[in-house]
Amino acid sequence: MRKVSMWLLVICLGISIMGISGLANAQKEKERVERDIVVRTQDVLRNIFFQETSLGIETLTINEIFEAHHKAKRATSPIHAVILLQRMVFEATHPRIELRSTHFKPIGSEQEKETKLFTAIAEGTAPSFLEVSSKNLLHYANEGIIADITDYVKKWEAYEYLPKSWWDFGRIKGRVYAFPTRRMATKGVTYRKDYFKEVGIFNEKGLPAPPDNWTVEDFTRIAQKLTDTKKNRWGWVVWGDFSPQDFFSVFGNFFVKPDKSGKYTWRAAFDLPAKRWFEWIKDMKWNKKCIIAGPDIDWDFYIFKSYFAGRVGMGCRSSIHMPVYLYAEDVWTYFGPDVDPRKDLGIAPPPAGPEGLRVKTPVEPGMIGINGVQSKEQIEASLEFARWLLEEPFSYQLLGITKVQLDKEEYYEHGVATIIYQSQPEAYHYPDVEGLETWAEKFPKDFTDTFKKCFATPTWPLNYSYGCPVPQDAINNRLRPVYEAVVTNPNCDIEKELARAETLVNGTVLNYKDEEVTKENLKTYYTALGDFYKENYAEYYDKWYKKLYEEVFKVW
Amino acid sequence: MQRKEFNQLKKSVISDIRQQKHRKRAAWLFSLIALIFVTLFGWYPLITAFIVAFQEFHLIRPSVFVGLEHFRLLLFFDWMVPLVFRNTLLYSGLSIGLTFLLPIIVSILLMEMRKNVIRVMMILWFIPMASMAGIILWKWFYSPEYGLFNGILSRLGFPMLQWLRDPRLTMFCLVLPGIIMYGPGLIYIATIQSIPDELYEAAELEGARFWQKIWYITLPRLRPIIAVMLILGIVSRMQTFDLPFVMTGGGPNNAVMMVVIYIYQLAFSEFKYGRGTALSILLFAVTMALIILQRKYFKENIDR
Repeated sequence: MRKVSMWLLVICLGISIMGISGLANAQKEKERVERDIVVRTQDVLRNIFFQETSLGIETLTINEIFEAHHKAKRATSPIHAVILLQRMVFEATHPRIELRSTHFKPIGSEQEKETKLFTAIAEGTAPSFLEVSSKNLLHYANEGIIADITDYVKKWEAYEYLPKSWWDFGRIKGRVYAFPTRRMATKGVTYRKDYFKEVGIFNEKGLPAPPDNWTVEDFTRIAQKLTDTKKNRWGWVVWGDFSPQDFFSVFGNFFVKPDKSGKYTWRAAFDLPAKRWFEWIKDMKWNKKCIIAGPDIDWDFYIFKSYFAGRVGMGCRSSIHMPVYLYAEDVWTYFGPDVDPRKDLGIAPPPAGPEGLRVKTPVEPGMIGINGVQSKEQIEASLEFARWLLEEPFSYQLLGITKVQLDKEEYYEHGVATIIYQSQPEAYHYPDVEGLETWAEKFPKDFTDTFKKCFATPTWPLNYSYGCPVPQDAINNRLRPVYEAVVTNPNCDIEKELARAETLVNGTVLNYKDEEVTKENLKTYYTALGDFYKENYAEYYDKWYKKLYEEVFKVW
Repeated sequence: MQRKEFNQLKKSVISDIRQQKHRKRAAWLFSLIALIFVTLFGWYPLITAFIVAFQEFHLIRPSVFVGLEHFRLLLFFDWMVPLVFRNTLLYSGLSIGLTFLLPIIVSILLMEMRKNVIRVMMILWFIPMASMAGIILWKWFYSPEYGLFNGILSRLGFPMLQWLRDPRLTMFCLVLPGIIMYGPGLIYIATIQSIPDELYEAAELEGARFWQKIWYITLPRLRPIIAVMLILGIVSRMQTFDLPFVMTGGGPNNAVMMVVIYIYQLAFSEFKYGRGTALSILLFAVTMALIILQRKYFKENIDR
């Protein structure tokens, strides 16, 4: 009898467990059915105030995250609390959409990221949001990796309040393929204020800084003055992978011309003003001997072993990283625990070219494209999430709440980059939240001034948004050896090297005819470019562009 | 009685056949796993590569068949192709030449030492083989401004060199770490250790000297292993990527631009998958040709 009751009890327990788990499964199943659209989120979304947490989403409360951060210092950051709430509120207000985090980590070099992305696309696990740049936008759009989102984003408030030039970065032939986030990067020259003071370089206000409206001639002069080989110190270090953004455009940024014969779309045109950049580098490297330049100069060499280690007085950087560096532990390591690097590191806008031309893209926003391989419903849901993050005041408020927590001294002391990220000056359209300090209060004045100047500098009309795309990356790859020849061979014949590169580019990169690049498109683009120069850089227009327009570009 | 024996024999034959069948099935099953892996990760990519080389390949949109267009472009319009093949062959030749001779000589000499000395020497030889960390370290040694080599040169009163920034020196800079960081020495030592002592003793009895023992016993016994290592060496050197890529990205002015770096550039930086794959087919053809030549002129069988 006892045995029978035992068995009965076991059976009852078993049935109860099965019943409860069955009910739970049914509930889960029901939820799954209700949430039938999956949006895959990933790390890049920090650009629109969203970031995944390695601590997991479901099990932690905000307090737990704060606590975990407080203990582990760099393990995570309180911004993760914002993510939790964002996710919860979005899903609560959008019952059909499930936000599912993917493990896609866009780390490594650009090529590595692409390889990972392409694998994820083939596998069907690619995230819904893809970080794009002017380098890969065209290819992604052509391949269908990112969707045409014109009809959706035109309804967004952000389409009105974010600058038009920012939207142009994601526009190809009049259609929008990527939307700008609130974060943007400017190009700046970072410099050592202590070295400037040491050699007596002061601006108009008597501060150890470059002149307010400096040119490449000023830049060369300052680099020469800063150079002291006995102290193992140089004026400037040039990135080894041939980054044309290192003031290339201020010399007149043309690499191609329309093909007059009509057989191809473009022909290489390296004999145009761009040649002057190579001559400038050659002069500084071999005659004035005031720069470090070579193919071996990588990120570590460039930023840490040269700039922070005090071996160069100036570097060219995308400003997006600089405020972070001021608080990052690496910098304190170089400067020592008793020195505040913010006093010695400065940032200035890039110098203007010989005819006053300024960089092509003084402000470049972070761009996000929507995975085009998804279903129409998924694309719409992804866009809705993006819009929600960009436009709903709720996100701002959350950020405000978190920021109050972030202001605790220990976070700054330990320089947790993700914390100050959110209060960086490049966060455009920053919300006015009570208790939230503005970036202007937090950063040195030269930083804020630089950002203001960059904002005030007009962006050049972009060829691809006018329907005239150029495979710029492939062209840069063929130009890199020219740069390397210039910086490794004092007797390098620049014209001969450029002519060789031109033949190669014509034969292997520009050997196609893009029927969509019509004469009408070319005319609109080159006319817009002419109007832009006439309005902003009259000297360059008169000296170079007018002639180029008539003799080289005009094929219609 | 005879019938009983016959039945027993019949039973044992049937059991043998069954066992054989079972063994065959087991053999097939065990091989199947390897077969699936080889097909999936070896043959499938290889066959796909041959298909992609004749296509304008797209990830999502349908690819377009373009015939021999990529090969035409590579062979007749891209002057980078002969340059990257020349660099790769030069690097392979120098690198194989040096990394092959030295370890053989060192291994033979090492075997003449005492057992515990051999062990210490082997450890010293193989510790610095951590590839990527080693490459980065070497890059810093070569730095003209802050590097170890220029530091030594300047202390000794010699003019400093540009190392990786001098196109005439870059190839040498690349081969040098290879000599130290890579060497099939361990394999040679293992082979030498397996040569029966009786052969040396017999040679000694017949009055053979040190070099004669090496020439007539050690080297012929090493020949099959040298042949295999040579093939592996050719294949790996023709596909060299990490060393030049990390050190200079193929520069300066394409001085050490290798075939695989160029393939990588075409496929993953410029998204020309078809052209990149076509170049990899050309590399495959050249490597195969080298291996055929090696097989033809370097007989590995010591008895022939």
